[in-house]
Amino acid sequence: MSTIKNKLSGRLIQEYHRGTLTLVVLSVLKERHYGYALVQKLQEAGLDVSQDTVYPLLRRLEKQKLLQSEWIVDGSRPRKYYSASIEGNLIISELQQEWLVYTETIRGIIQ
Amino acid sequence: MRITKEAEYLLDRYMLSVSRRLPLRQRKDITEELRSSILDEIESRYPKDMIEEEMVEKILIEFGAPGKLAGSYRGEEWIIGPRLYPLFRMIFLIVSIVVTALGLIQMGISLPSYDLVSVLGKFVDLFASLMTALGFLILAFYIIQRTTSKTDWNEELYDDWSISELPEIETRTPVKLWEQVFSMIFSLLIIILLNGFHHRIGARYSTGNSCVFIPIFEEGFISLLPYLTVRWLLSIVLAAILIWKRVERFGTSIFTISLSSFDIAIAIIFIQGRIETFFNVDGLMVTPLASVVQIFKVMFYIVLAFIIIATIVEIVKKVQELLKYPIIEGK
Repeated sequence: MSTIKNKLSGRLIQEYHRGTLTLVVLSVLKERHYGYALVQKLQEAGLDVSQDTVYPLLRRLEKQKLLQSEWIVDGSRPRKYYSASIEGNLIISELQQEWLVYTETIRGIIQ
Repeated sequence: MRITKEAEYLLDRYMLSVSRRLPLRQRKDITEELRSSILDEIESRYPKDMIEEEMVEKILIEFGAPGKLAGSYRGEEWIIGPRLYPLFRMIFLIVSIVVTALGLIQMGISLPSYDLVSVLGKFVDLFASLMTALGFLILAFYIIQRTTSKTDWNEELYDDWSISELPEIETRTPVKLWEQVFSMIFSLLIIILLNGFHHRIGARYSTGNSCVFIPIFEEGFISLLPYLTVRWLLSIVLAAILIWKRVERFGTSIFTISLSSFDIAIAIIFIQGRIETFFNVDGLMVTPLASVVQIFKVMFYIVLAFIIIATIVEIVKKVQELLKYPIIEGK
């Protein structure tokens, strides 16, 4: 019973992490990063994210033209670097503003 | 940082298994990025000069089942999920081959009596049959996908995944899609053209009031036609397998070598028999095409000799390729 409960709560937490990850990724990618370095940076900052969450998100954001990418031979092998596009940069501040208002509202409700 | 042959081979097997389940358009890009990040992970965790098989194995287990990883790129709204997709693809290929083969056999049996419009009509029918089969198959798999348990396809179904499930790579020659599609179309057209219309291919010219038609093919060529047709049908099957598999494997290499050997045999038969046995060159010499026929008579043996040499070189290359990688039984 407790396993099911843990799994369920784990999944719910994962769901809202996933929802906020776009904002986090776009914010970090104001500076150019390759996928692995980005995941490391997020993990070091304390976010519990895995590669199989971040890489597909990068693809999705690139498809939505919010990110741009280029392959660069860096050290021993080519790496795909991502950075926020002009559209991406425009949307970041909007998302950040929305996030601040939203968290304030939620805090007011759950307290 | 260098990598051992065994470690690289294990990584290749994993990447192959992931890439097979990825959307075609992004396959190469995603695979290269994943490979790069797996190597980054290994390098950061094991600061050694050489990447070994055990290191790769540990990281791959952490990355998880290839189907799960590929599934994360496909999103949640798939009609047929990554778990069912390989089975769907295999069944579709079998159904396609059977439907196409039956359609072609039926077409071949009654072809000589068809005019061009009827032949085109038969092709439309064949295409419609293939689309119907695809439609039913998608529907069946969609129902299976929706009616099986609501287990999270991305997680729990892959819990029991192990590294030993990765497919072996027999050879690593990538297949060029356009080459295979071209091969299929060319083979189909030549089968139709020669089996249905060989008696209509030739030179037509007018002598005063009457119109004379001289066919190009002689009985010698027509007697070889059934064998040539089988060869072209086999090349369609080979192209379909290569499109499905994406890589040239041991079995398909042997298949290709067999077809190439058959080509050499046919070329030798053409050289051994005289050109007049297969082509109506004497008859065509009296037509306005006489100068072209004259060139053809000279070029005929040169081209055949070139084909034989080029095919032998191709076979040798294939054999070398087969010996380059270990031949391992695939799953």
